[in-house]
Amino acid sequence: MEDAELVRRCLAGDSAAWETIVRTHTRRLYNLCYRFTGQRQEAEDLAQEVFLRVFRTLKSYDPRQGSLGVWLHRVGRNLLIDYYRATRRQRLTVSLEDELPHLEEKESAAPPPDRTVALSELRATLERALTRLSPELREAVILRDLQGLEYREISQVLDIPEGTVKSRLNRGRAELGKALKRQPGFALPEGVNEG
Amino acid sequence: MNWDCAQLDARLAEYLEGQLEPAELRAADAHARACPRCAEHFLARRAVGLLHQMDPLESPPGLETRILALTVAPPPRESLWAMFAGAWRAFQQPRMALSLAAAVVSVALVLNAFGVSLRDIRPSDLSPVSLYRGAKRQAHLTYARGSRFVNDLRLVYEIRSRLEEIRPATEPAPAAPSKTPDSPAPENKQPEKPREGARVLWLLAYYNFIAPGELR
Repeated sequence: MEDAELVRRCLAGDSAAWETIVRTHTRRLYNLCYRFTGQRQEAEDLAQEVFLRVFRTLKSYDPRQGSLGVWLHRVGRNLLIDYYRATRRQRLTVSLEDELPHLEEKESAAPPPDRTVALSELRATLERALTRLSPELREAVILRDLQGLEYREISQVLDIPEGTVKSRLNRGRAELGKALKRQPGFALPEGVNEG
Repeated sequence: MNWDCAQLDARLAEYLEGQLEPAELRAADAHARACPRCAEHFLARRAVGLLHQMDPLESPPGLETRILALTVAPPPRESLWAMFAGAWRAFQQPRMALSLAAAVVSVALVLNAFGVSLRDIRPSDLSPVSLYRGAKRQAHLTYARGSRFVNDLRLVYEIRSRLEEIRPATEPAPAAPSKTPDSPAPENKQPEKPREGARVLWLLAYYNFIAPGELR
């Protein structure tokens, strides 16, 4: 069913249509929030908030400005930026403690014996690095490489030109690459990501 | 095929996302590994490859249900027909039928008390004209009855106030009943009765209802 039709039905009081929207998009919105915050509980609360906000403002949905998925991502992204600003001070105090065990790990890390262990460690490093990117690089990378949105859709979500999307993506990906370089297991998974 | 920095820069997005042809990809990789300027692109390509391999998480159990519980859809707009159907369904319930029967019985009782017999009502009585006439007649009768009552009341009050004025002259002995102080109160009232009667007779004379000579 078309997004516009689905929204029209919702506004006419069709709860089944609203349920379809919720069931279709919850998982993707939860993933967006989780990848941005790196915390499951926060992600769950934020995803819930996205739908509450969307439900209240369903009347303002304009299909010409993108699909329903794009609109939901835009609402979610705005909430995430609010969340980022609200928790900035808290993060500054926590990040130092966060850094210490990481340094220890690095010193004691022997070359991993197993390829899958190395891979999972690489992924963990990558996830950590992702949550430390600046928010504008982070959101671009998440929307493209994890949520799989088109450049055009990302530019709609972030309200920036496609050229800016591409340059932010390049910068964000380069930052993530640097984080991998520091990882001792990096040399091992040769050929795991050829595709 | 050998790639240089310019080629790689031109098609960087495709390279990072692994969208080049296999032969192009090999050539680009070879250049990126060897070139110190393009080394960061090689690392970035690894990062993107790993991100693409990450499976999306399942949404937590109960999240959808909670969202749906928190967002109750706006109430549906009911058509007139749907409202009528709903009312009809309500009427079919035994409770509703019982209350309806009770209401009919009480209305019949009230009508009966006012002298209206449901059996005597003919179809012609229910025509608007006769209903209007009946209501008009009833209204006039009620008004006449009411005004008569008010007039009677006015008369009684007037009589009483006149009586108050002339009391000292006609009744000089208010302490007369207290001859026996220990006698019970009901007996005390008994002697007053004739006096009330005398007062009424006097009033009737005062208003010329009877001849003053009849007071004796």
